[in-house]
Amino acid sequence: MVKKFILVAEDDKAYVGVYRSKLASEGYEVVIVEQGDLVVPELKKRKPDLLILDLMLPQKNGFEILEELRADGKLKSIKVVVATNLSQDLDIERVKKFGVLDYFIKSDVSVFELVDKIKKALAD
Amino acid sequence: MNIKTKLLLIALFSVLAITFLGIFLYFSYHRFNEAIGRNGIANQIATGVFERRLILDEYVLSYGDSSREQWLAKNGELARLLQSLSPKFSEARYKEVIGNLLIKFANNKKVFLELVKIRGDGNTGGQDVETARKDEEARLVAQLLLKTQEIISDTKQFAAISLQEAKENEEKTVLLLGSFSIVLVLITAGTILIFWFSIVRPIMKLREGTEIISSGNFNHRVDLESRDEIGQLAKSFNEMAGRLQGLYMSLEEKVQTRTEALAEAQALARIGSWEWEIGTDNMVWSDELYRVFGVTHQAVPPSYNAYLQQVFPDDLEMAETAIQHAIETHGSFEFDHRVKLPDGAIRWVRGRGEVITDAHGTPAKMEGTAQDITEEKEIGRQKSEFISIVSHQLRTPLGSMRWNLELLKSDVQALPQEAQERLNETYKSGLRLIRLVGDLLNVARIEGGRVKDEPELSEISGIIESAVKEMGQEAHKRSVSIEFSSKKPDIPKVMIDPKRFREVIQNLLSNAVRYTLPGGRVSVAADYTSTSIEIAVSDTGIGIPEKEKSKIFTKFARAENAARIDEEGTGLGLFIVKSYVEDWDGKVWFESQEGKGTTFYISLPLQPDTASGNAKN
Repeated sequence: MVKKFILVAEDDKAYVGVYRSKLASEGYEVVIVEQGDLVVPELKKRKPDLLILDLMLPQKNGFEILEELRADGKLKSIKVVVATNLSQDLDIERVKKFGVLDYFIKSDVSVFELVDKIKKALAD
Repeated sequence: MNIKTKLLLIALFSVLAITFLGIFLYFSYHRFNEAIGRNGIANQIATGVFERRLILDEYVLSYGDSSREQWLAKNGELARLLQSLSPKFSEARYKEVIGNLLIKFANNKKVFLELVKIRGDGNTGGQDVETARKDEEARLVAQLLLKTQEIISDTKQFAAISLQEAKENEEKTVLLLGSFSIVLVLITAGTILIFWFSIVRPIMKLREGTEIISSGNFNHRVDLESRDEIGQLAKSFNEMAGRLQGLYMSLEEKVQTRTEALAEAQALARIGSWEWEIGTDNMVWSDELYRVFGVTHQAVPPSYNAYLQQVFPDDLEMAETAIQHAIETHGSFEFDHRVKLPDGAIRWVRGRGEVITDAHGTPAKMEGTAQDITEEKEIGRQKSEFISIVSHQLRTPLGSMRWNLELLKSDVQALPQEAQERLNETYKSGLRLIRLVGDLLNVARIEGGRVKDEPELSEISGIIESAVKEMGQEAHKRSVSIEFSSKKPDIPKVMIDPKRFREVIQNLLSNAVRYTLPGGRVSVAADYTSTSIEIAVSDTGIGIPEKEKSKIFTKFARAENAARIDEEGTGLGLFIVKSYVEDWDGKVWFESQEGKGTTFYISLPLQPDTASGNAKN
């Protein structure tokens, strides 16, 4: 069985470690991108099954990336889950307009809950 | 002299003049009548004398006894008539005539009796004696005739005198009648003139004065110098006009001062005001309103359409809907909209308006304000940005701590018992910190008025059910039973923000579970009437001590007994619950007994339109 490929856009080392070990232990192929401006080129290189996107990224923020994604015919269909620590209603609303699968506030969700949701998203 | 005195004097003068003239007229007419009467008597005497003369003729021819007696009787009759008149004719001119006549009648009688005597001595002598007697007889008859002639002449004189008197009195009467008419005309004319100058003309002047003053010319005074009642009236009127002028001027001054103060206040607060005649394009704008919209009087004449044109196109539909709704409900509106200034910059404006109805209750006018809230919006934006950054900065390390601890905990076999316990405690503290950050953020949102409310027709029993289910795991861990029992089967849908409603139920359930000792019970019940929905969250927990009951809904309030058994609470949950529920025009209250348990009640109003919407479902 081919491993599902997840691209994680996350710059915080403490989270990167968790993603890497937990998702790998769940049997996913994980690539981490730590700079916002490198996300779209990476996606173009190889289309992932899921993109886990943080919103506060250096060089280019998550909102800009989503905008670019949705404007690109080839990348439009990529499944996106946002995992961030921005918790303002305005931010949530802004992101939801881009049609993402889910919006997680990292501190408010346990890593197991998150992984459960990711599994479900990839199974659909 | 006052009008009453003037009128009294006129009346007095009229009465006196008329009485005086009347008396004169009466006497004059009386005298005239008397004179006529006297003239009649004179004629009567003349007739009597003529008859006596005829009797004398008869006597002279026959010397009969009867004619003699007739003459004497007539003569006596005439003398008596004259005598009876004499006291009435005391006037000199009559006295002499009547006296003469009386003497002449007496003489006549004497002569006649001489004649009778001579006649009686007849045929007693000779021829000579007879001739002498006849001569004497003739002489006496001639004398009698002569005297009779004199009496007639005197009587004529008497008649002439009385006629003269009658004439004199007739003239006098006519003269008096003439004077009487002239006096009457004079009295009438005088009365009319006094009425005109004392009453009619001053009243006309007063009326003119009231008209001028009521038309707004408070400088006008009535020019009346008289000292009568109308003069007094004019004086009082002028005093009143003076006071009115004073009042008006001080009012004008006050209005001026207030208008300036209002303009200053409007400028300071950056609030412009307007008035609109509903259904027309007529609008009045205050000076500040122009500044708020960044336009000038010259460029934009005030009108309803001009007002709408100031609203940023994207906000126009919202604005018009709000205004229309206010008119339909006879209520008011408030909305924030953007204004594009001539230089292209965007300004935020808060529009407010209120419908004013006329006497029949129909919306006639709208009054309102437009406030420049650009700075307020900017401060709000900065505040919310600050909170956003701070909470992000706090959540980031807390989140990574949580995840890393969770991974560590999932591999506990690798750690000694003691380390596992320390790890658990650290994890719990981390969760508590995360909850505190979330609650603080909510409080900041509530207090900043930035809670986003997205009401939709929600099935609240579904929300309660899922919240109860979610809490089940925690309750189970604490050996507390939890259940949802709706009292009525079909709880109506409510127009409410489901996310926030869920938060309210979660908070109440979390409190109930955490403050109930193992073996206890938590239950949720929902009930409804035609106007409201009531939700009760009950527990058999530790209860709220009496002295803490009053502050249980305040921020960071934690009952002593609660803090003892659970260290994780932030003391913000009930504050958030109350804020949200009151936001929905609902009510929240509780019943509690320490050691026995607590029930929190929430009552939410049920809108009639949603009720009918439910009926259709």
